[in-house]
Amino acid sequence: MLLSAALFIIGVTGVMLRRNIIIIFMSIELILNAVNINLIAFSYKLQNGVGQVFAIFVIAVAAAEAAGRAGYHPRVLSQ
Amino acid sequence: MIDTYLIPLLKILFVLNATLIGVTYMVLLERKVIAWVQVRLGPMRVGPYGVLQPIADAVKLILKEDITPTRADKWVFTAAPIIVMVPALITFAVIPFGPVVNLFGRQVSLAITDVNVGLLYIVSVASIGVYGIILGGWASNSKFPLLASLRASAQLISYEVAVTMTLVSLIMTAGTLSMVGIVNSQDTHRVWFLFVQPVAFVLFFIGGLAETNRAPFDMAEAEQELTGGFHTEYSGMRFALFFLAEYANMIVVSSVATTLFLGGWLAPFSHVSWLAFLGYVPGWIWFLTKTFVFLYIFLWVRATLPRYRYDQLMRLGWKVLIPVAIANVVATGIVKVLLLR
Amino acid sequence: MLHAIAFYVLSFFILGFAVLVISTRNTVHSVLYLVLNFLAIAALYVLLTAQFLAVIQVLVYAGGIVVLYLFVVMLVNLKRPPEDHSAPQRHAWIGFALAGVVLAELGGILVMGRVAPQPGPNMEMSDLALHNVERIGMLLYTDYLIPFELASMLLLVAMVGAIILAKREL
Repeated sequence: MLLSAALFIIGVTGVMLRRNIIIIFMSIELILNAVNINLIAFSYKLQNGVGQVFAIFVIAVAAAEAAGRAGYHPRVLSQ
Repeated sequence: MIDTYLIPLLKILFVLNATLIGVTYMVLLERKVIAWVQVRLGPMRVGPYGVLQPIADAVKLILKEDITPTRADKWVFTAAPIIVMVPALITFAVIPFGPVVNLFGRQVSLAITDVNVGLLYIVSVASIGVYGIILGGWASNSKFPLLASLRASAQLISYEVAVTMTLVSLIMTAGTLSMVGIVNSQDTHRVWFLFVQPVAFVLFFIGGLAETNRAPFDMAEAEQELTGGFHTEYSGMRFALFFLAEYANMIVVSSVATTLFLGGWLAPFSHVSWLAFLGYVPGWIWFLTKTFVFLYIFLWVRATLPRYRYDQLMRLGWKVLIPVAIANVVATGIVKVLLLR
Repeated sequence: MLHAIAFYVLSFFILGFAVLVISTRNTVHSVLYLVLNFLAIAALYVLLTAQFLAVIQVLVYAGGIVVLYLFVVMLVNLKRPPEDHSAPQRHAWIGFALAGVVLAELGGILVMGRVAPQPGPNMEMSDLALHNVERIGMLLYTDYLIPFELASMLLLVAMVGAIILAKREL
């Protein structure tokens, strides 16, 4: 759990401090992964499968978001 | 203690060595087979019937000058061939070469390990291999390799989707993701999955051809295209790594296809009693034979079919393979539900 | 024992790579560190007996999403900072405050619940660990069917949206 908190902090720092937009997006991914780690850790501790199922949804949402962003980029940066 | 560490270590060493030797001799095999198809003899000078040719090739490549382009990203440039080779090799960790055998009084299963998500592991490892190609083109810091590598990686990720969808229907048939489980499932069903899922077999084979950048889908590396593709700037041992990684990938795809469709280490007709003498041949020899058949088909296809254009290639992947794979999944689901009644 | 060592080693790598992601000058290197980060996280998932999720993490995250990032980085060389991003130094404190709140919460839970990073209840493989795929599959299709369908719709919408966005600029 401490690990996920630390990762979360690093991700937030990255989002705040870097101006390069790509790195901001990657820091967001780091934050999402920190959340996932937390979910899996609890799933392991409580021996309950729900955490893993929810983590799958988190990954799916992150994938959808990345896809949408990738479609957006060529438009924005061609201007 | 010994069981958990020493035996897997020995297995790993054995499989790695066997694979690397196999890969080197694939080079010779390819040249020989293509030569025979074209009614000529292939390499004949080095050693009897050209058997020592790979050694000569290896010596040549090792002794070549190792050029790194200026202003190329040194770390990435060095890492790219490694990133292509490693996934091919670590896939062998989950492929079952034979049943449980009795070696020196211990029960040893002839697979390095049996992960309960074995098939998915193979697919995910293959998707890591894409990185090596992208980075190889990027690190060369020159336009031709960069464009070629982007095209090649686009091809790879497109066909990855098709192959994964194909494997879904196969997983539904087998009922398990573990490779050993799939072979055992073919044993209990008494039929190789080749006959249960012929469509999946064809799709997997075509997808495998495209995934390994083999003809007729070898736009990425053909000499006439973009001056040699993403490994233009690589010379000597680095180029050798790319080259060997491609053959290693071929062997991987053949092994996976053997395990999934041809029954792994099972002898054919294993449940027909008057053919039971086939069971006396050890399982791993069957496995090698079937894998060899696949490899031969790979080479045969290369010698026979002309190359696809890039847009034809992408069209085939997205508009043909993926819908057919999805239809296969639906059909498999329907059949399974009907059979359960 | 080995479990704890592996956990700490992996955590070190995960955090190390994450720091490298946000601190490297070169964007391409940053993406590569992100990949390594995800691979380390996948290894952590295996350690926590979530094998299915580990493989999904590699397949989708490391093998798909980051490849997307790599394409974007290479095709569009982002040298100039985007204009609409406000000066970071003024608003950074909000982010740090939020992170501090999270840390305080977790610290509170740790102290009060006395949950420490130790190996799980019993070291033998539990049912969830051994039959990981089957259990998750059952959960997905029975209890969590509606979120599953919603996630599929979300992915479909994202796919179509990405294609429309990309096509219009041709």
